[in-house]
Amino acid sequence: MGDSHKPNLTFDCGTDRVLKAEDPFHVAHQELMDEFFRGQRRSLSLSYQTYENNKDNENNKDKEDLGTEKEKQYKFRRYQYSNPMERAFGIVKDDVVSFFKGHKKYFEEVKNETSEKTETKADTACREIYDFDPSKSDVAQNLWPTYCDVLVVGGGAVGSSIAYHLKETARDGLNVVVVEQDPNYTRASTVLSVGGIRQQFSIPENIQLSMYGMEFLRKSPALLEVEGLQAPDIQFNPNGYLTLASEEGYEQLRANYELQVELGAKVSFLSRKELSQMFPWLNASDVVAGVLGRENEGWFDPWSLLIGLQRKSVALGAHYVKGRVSGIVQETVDDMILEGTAHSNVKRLLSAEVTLGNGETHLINFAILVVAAGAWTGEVGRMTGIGEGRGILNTPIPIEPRKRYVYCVHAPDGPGLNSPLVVDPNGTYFRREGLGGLYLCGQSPPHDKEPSVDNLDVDYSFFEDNVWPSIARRAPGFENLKLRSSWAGFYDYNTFDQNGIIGLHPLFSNMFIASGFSGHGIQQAPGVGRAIMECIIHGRYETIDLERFGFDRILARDPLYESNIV
Amino acid sequence: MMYRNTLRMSAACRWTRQLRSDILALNRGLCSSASLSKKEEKAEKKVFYNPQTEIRKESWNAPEDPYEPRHPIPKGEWRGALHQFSKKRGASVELISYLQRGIDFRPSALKKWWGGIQNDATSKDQTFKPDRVAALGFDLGAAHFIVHRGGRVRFKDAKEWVQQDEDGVYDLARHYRPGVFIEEIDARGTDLVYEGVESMMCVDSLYCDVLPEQLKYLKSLNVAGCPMVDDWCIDRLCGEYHNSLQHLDLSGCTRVTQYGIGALTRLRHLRSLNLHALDEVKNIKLLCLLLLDAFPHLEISGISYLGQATETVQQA
Repeated sequence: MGDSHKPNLTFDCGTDRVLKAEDPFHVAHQELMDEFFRGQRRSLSLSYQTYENNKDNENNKDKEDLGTEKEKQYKFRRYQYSNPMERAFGIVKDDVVSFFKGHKKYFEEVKNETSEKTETKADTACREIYDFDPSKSDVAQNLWPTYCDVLVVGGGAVGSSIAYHLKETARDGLNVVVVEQDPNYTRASTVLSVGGIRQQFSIPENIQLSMYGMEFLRKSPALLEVEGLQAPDIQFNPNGYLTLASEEGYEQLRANYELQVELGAKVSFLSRKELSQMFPWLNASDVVAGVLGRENEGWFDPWSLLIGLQRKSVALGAHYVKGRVSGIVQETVDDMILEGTAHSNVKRLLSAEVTLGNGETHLINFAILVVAAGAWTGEVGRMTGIGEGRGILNTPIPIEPRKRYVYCVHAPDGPGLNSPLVVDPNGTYFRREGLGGLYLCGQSPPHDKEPSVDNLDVDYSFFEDNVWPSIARRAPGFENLKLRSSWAGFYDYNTFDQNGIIGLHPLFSNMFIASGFSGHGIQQAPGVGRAIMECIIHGRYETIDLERFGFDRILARDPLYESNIV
Repeated sequence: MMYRNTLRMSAACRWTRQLRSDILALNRGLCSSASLSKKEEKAEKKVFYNPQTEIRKESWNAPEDPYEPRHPIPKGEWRGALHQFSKKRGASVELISYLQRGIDFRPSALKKWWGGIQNDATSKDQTFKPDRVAALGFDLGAAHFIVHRGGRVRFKDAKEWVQQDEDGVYDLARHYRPGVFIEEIDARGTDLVYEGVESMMCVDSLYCDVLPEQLKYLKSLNVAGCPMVDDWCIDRLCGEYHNSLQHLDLSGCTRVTQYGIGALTRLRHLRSLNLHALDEVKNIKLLCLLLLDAFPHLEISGISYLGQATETVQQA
């Protein structure tokens, strides 16, 4: 019990629940109640004053500090010899005094620890959140959730958002388990993304999802607050997006702009003259017009959002499990007949087989499965048979990983403070990062030159041949730059129409898909989480109607194209 | 000039009528703006569901109305005598969620709960009210909004400030008057929130792309000491007044971070910036220097960003 002041997840076998980890009131109270009863029992055994007790008391009379455990035990022995009234009042008095003193000390210790924790790295964050770790010998860490209500495959922004919204609405009504294969998020798209949020879409539902995402980020310090921990600092830079268009793209840009204004997004249409006036560093010679977001656009820190969502879900009772889903057990529901071919039997998913890091496999039985596995959603779909059957099952989930590079450059003559996230007509983008002249830039490679997705190695020739000339042409200040660092991440690329697939699969009665956002997933993560929560709990979409994003459009070959993507 | 004003008046009315999608009679000769703002917002939260579309049936045996609420007792089953009193949709999910939360009676938690209620009330009170704008136009509506909450407003071509006296009475026109534009807003000490910044919208912020150069009027905005002003409020301010604002005072707005101040370059005509009591913001001195790079004639007061530089010059 010596280091038990460190808050950690403990499983209370008595009430069969996970105690809220960062709830010092509960933990401190529990400890002190234990101490109190233990002390009481001890004091009843010796009811007379002995020589040893007397000597101890003389030595310790001036030590009034009742904070630590040893001293508390000391003080309880003082009352072994007194009369019952004195003993009772003395114990209660000591209890009260030690409660407040210990409380203060405990809070100071928690404060010191949490102030260290605010600069957590990935492994310490995941050590608190991922409660199943076979290397730990402690019983509390070794509990396996054999049965759960909702199993979320994938613990990135979308998965954590789904877990958060489910637990926030259903509280103890739903047992939510999130399976994530890589708690350090080395390959997850969430943390490798540039973190932009914009309303400049051409599909109304996309605009609404982004607007809700913005509202969620604004309210996140209140919504994602866990007692004892600092609220996540989203680091939102309200600088806006600037989408440029050349001669060919002018009509499309104008049409998009009118749709966005109609749906309530606050954007401005700028001519070439106005562009040069507003952004003197911009070379607008080959640009005809641009659309600048005036409100609710910019970029933020996806790590903070992810950690905030995770911590809040765990505090509300979700379980995060480190493992990889390697198989899914299903059964055919014989008493439901679908119209269609003979292969249209409705199936139900029963349990998922999860492979741990040390090779062991365990089963998790669930009622509802939500696949939010990002770039690996196609793989998970193949485990259920989507894409490897006949009839409707012949169509796979068209989501696959596509590698994209992000380069961090230092350009002292760059645009400076006055720069939004600029999107070139040819797809190149750049944005300011911090105040030291650093910029992040990137470009989507052409279709025939997609890099291989075996690893996350960066191709520097792509930067020198494609990205640098493009940004240097757009802003001449970028001619003098130095490449500082770079990284690669996967888009969960929807090869069908590059927009998210959200909703039930027609043949599986309990499988939701929430993936395939192809580069704009991080801004839609809160909205998608809420939509899936509404589907599961209310049975239909209540706020934003995402029926058009369902899997049915893939089967009907009816694409929902966004006119431009980054 | 008159013609253009009446045109703009009808544009404003048309715009708000479009918002509310019903015929709105102008409130002529009615009570003060206080009761106008107390009226509950009738516009409901917009759900992306258009009841006019034909219901496309998925299949020959699908039910007629897809949104029929599920009855707790199905139609063919036995129902008791009191079945009429049973709820159509069952217990709401929010109720069950609240029942599970437990009541926290700790003093800190009670204080937080009370603060949350106050914040919700303030946000609701300060949301944009189309009625006000329909009756008064944008600038007068914004003036009423600010003066009613303890701020001051100065109109173009006027020397005096309009503010509340001790009895809460102030002298502002109650009907739409063309040619009235706000030039300075002093919202010091009012508890302005994010929703309130939208209510402060003047006509040039709405039509900032369309209006010609001479119709941009709001020159100065003072939100010193408003504790709830944060980066998102700055985002809204920059988005609305980027063409006209010249003087901005953000002293004492402790929720503003370096990211919000970095976005102040969006105010293209900014001439003076007051950042008193914002020394805790990270990298504030570097931000001041970068703002000076962007706006060479900008005057920043309240931060001694040249403190160390002058010392080293003296030493050398």
